[in-house]
Order: sequence, then C-alpha cells, then structure tokens
Amino acid sequence: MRLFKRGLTYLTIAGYVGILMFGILSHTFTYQTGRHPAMYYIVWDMFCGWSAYSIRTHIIGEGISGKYYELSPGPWGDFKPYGDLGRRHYDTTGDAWMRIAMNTLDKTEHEPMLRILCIEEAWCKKYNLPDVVWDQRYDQPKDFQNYYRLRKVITPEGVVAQTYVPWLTRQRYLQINDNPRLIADMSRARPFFAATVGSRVEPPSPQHDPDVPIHLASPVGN
Amino acid sequence: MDAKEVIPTQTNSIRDRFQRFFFAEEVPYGLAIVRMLLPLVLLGTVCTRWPYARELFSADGAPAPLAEIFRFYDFLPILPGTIAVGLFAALAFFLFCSTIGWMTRFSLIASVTLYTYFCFMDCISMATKYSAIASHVLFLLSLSRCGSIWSVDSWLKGRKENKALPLYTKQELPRCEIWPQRLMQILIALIYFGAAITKFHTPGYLEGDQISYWAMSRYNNPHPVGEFLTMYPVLLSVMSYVAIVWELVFVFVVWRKWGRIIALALGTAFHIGTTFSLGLYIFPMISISIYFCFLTENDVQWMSAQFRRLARREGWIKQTAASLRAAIEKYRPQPVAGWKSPTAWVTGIVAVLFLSIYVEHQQDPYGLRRPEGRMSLHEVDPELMAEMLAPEQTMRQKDKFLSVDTGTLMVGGWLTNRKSEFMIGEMILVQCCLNPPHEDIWIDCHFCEEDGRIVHRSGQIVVRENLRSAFQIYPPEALEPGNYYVSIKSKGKEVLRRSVTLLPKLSAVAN
Repeated sequence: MRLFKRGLTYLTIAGYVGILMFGILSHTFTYQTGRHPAMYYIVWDMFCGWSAYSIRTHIIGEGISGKYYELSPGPWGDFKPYGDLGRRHYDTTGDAWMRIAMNTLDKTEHEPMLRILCIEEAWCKKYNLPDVVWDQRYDQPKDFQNYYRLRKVITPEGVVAQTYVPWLTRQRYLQINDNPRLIADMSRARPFFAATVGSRVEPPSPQHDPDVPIHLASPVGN
Repeated sequence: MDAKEVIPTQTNSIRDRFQRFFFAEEVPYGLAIVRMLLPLVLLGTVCTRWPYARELFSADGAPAPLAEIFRFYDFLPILPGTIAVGLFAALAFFLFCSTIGWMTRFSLIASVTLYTYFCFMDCISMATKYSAIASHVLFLLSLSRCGSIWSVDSWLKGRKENKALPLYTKQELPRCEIWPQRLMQILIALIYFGAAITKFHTPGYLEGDQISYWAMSRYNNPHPVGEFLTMYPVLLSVMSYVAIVWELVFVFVVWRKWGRIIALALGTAFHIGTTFSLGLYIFPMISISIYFCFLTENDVQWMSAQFRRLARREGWIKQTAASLRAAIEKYRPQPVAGWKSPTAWVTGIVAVLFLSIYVEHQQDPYGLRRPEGRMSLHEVDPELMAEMLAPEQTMRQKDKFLSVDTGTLMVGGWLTNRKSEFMIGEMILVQCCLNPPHEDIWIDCHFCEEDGRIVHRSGQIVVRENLRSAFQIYPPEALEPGNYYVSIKSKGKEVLRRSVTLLPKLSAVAN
C-alpha cells in the first residue's frame, strides 16, 4: 500500500510538472495554444498586448416603430467585474453579445424587434489621460473624437445575420491598403471569376482583433 | 539517539536530492497560510458576483462559456438558473470553510471543482489568469495536508488528542511531505517564466509602449500613478526590463535563501506596483497570498523565536498573548463526537443552498414577478443612434499621433529631459510619438515663430512598424530670444504643437 501511494505521488509530480512544461513550450513556440479549453490553464499569456485605442460595445435593439433600445445593460442593472465598466465591454471577441441581447429581450416588456445591432465605439487612448497630466503633456486642449463601427447584426430570433471585422482590424487593413503598388499587385493576381468550384474570390477576413489572441477572452488581469 | 543521525546516509546523488526536495517532512506552515488567504480573496470575488449568478452562469442568463472561444461547443453543461445560484452560494461556503480549515480537504475539492466550473461558464467576467492560477493552487492545496495546523479540523482533533494524552506530554505539530508545496513553488516559477515569454512575444513591451497604453486604459480600477507615469516612458521601459529579467531568473534563484528573499521581495513590490500603476486589485492579492508557500519551517521557527524574545522584553505582548489564549479556551466548545463536525458541515451546505435560492427568488433580479409587470427597455437617444449608424468615419490624422515632446537628451529611444526652454544655439530634439496602427507616413516638423513664420523645416518618413521619430533643430544664433513653437504636420495639417522658449545665449563675463 505504501509503495502504491509513493508510486501515485511520483506520478502526480511527474504528470503535473509535465503538463506545466508542456504549457510553457506550447506558449513559447506558439504550438497548439488554442487547441483545447484546458490550454487556458497552462498558457501564461498575461499581458498579451494593448492597443492605442479604447474600445466599448453597444448592444442595441431596433423596434418596429423605428425606436432604438439599449439591450445591455438590461434595465435591472449592470455587473461591473473589474472597475467602472460593464461586463459587455470585456467581451473582446463578441461571442456573448447575442446571448446578452437575447437574455434582455427574453426578460423585458418591449415592442417587437426588427434587428439587434452590436456597435463598437473606439477612441484614442490619449484622451483618457486626466486633465492634470494632459495639460503637462499637450499644448492644445483635448479634441475628443470617437469612431463607431457596426460589428454584428442579429435577427430577433437570435441568428447572426451579418458580421464585420473589429474597428481596429479595419484600420489596419485600410493602412496596409494605402499602398497603390500593393493594391495593383493584388488586383492583377486575383481572378475576376472564381476559377474552381468552392474557391473564394476574396480571402476570409479575420474575425478577431490581431492584437488579442483568440484564446484570451478577458483583456484584464485584475 | 537514532542511528540515522549518527551514520550519515544521505548523499548528494540526484536521487537523494530529488528525495530531499520533494519528500522532506515539514510542518505545513506555508500551505496553511496560503489555505487561509487565497480562498478568502476568492470569497470576495464570489460574493460580489453572487447577486448576478443567474445572469452570468446559468441557462437563464447570458453565460459566456470559455470553451466556445476555443470552438468547443457544449463542452460543459450550462445549469438552470436556480441550481447555478445555489451552487454559486455553496462555492462561497466551501471557500469560507477552506479558509477556516473546516472539513478542509472536502471543502478544497468542492471549491476547486465549482470555482473552475464557474470560471468556464463566464470567460468575460470570471475567468482571468488569476482565476486560472487560483484553480491550480486550490487543486494543490486539496492534495496537501494544509488543514493539519491552524484550522478548525486541527483544533477539534487537538482537543481530542489532548484529552487522551497525559498532562505533561507536549503535543507535536504534524509533519508531512512537502511535495504539494514544491509543486506550488514550481507552478509560481513557471507562471513567471511563461509571463516573461509572453512579454518577449509582445512587440513594444521593452520600449514601454505597451505598459504606457495599458496605463492609459480604463479597463481596470483607477490607477492615477500609472497615468502620471505615462509622462515618463523611459521609466516604464526600465521597469519593463526589470520585470522581464526578474520573471526569467525567478525559477533559478528562488530556491536559495537570499535568492528567495530578493525574488519574493521584488515580486511583492511588482504586484503592489500593478495596483497603483495599472489598477489591478485581485491579481496582486492572489499572487502575494500564494507567495507564502515559500515559507519554510525554519522561517516560522525563527520568527517565533524573535516574537518570544520580543514578548520577554515587552511585558504587554506577553499579557496580550496570554489573555488571547485564555479567551480561546473560554470559548472552546464542549467535546463533541467525531461524526458531529461532518454532519454540521453537510447541514451548513444544505442551509446555504436553500437559503441562497430563497433569497435570490425574493430578490427577483430580472423583476419578472413585480406587481407592475416586467421591466421595460431604455430608449437610446436618436441623435446618438444617428451618429453610431453614420457612414464609416475616416480616422483623423491627429488620432494617429500620440505626442510631441522637446528636450536635449535621448535614452533608450525616449526623450528623457522634456523641457520647453532652450538657449539660442542649443540643439533641440523633437520627438514625435505615433499610435499603432499607422501607415507609412511622412511627417513634417516645422520650427516656427510665434506669429507662424517658419524658421526651420524638416521631414521624414516613419515606416509603419516605428512608433517614434526624432528631429534635430539647431536654432540659428541670428534668432531673437522669445516664444516659438514646434509644429508637427501630416498630410498638410497640423496634428500636434509644442511651445518652445528661446533664451539669450550666456556669454563669458570678463572680470
């Protein structure tokens, strides 16, 4: 019995350290880090990159009367997990937006909805600086400008009808495409018609912000 | 004397070292402290989430399963609202029992199971890297005998043993193999190593850009120190280097006495620093509480000796300790049978389950049972909606620029002595910082008189991977002292401006 117990202990030690080492190697060489949900527990990618823009999310329902309604936060209030921001703002991939919207519609009194709009709002992070710091760093007053981008359109039945890339990804594309030579090369290389059955004329656009690895849901380490 | 102590049997072979490293026996002081602190911190996070448990974790709300991000659908069952609410309250009960060490092993096993499940159910507001670390630590605690000291279990057990032993026998604290403690230490060391690898993968980390943007963000709690530090990016860069070196060497130095003290002291300072600079609260609490697994038996004995010495010198400490001991004895309950503690524990779980479900039902979080009917949705301002649904706006040039600074000295790619007053003839360094992403961009830097007349102009291309560009301006000696400004232009528009004052050049005085 004692030998069995000792053997089990050895196995536990070897197994646990082995799993941790696999996580480290997997993360170091970016090998199958998104293979399984359990990888979240052995890949230590805290601080995975922060953009220069603040991003917020609006989930809005459009009623048949043409009025628009806030679907998140619901009328019962908002859960703020890590500070002053509501939960929806931490959903960087947008995977939960539909559930959030449908839950609010399910629990409230409202007119019939035409569609649900998920809109991203972005602004330059420098405008987040408090006035004391701003005044020391800048000669001009704050000239705040926010940008909106439609990310998803969802039907009232809960079917995602349209999806668009995040605002930041869109900016990256616009800036890469700001190169006539590159655009000309791309146009020349791309056939006008789909050559083979099943081939795509346009490459699929990534749905996630390249700054945020797909396996990282929450941008906070709080 | 034991023969083992007379004849040295230990060698320095790898096998013996391995044995000593993992299977030496110690009183689990460190693990007991981790057991008391970590579940307490988690209890706080669970209590703040409990009123929203139905919404966050159940099929009657809007859960965000972690597995779906990995494209594993229906990986774990999503529980009905009432069950989720009850189990979440039970999790709080188990965490509390773990803290006080009541039915410790069962409480820890239940805690790690439920905590991990609920983290899997809400990747937006429950699953973070601190919760992943906490799950590991709870798992390792459940393998250990961390409840054998400083716990309700040990208190009850000690009382029974005390009754059985003669009065003059001294009760010894239980000793156990330290391998769970070692695994926890290895876990911490590898987490830091992994975090260092992440930082290597992160462009702009060592230059301080990433930390600077994090400090400007408002995803976490208020962090005024971080916002202030954005004015000194070179300091952030230095701190980034220190952090990455510390994370890399932690695994190698933490096993020796001074290495351990330095690594843990730096770690504590680092984590406390993230509270003030980045607004992180829970992560530092978790990290510092698990640092206690590095506490050895010798450390506690040394501290205990110091305390006794102090108590002998200061009479009031001795008196306070004695009165505390008397108070504990006074409130010690009558001896109970061995089965009563587990029974009370199970009764506690059942009570918590039913009470939480009842309270939540009364609270009616969605307002479904209100006499006036269901809640109605809030209307959005039509003007705001029109703004949101307007055609795509092109990003302004000025939003591609972060700042412009003037000074004379650059260190590590950053302007370090930011100033606005220069002698005539002195070189002025102008540093222009850009926000990513930006295209390959041409930047004009104009040095102008107060009325707008350009005195000096230069320009350069900043390629997309660069976030900074520097210009050198040599104000001609023919210029009058006075107010000038540096204007940064892009695509013909001024995007940033910095005021500069030129002072008369001091000449040598003949005496």
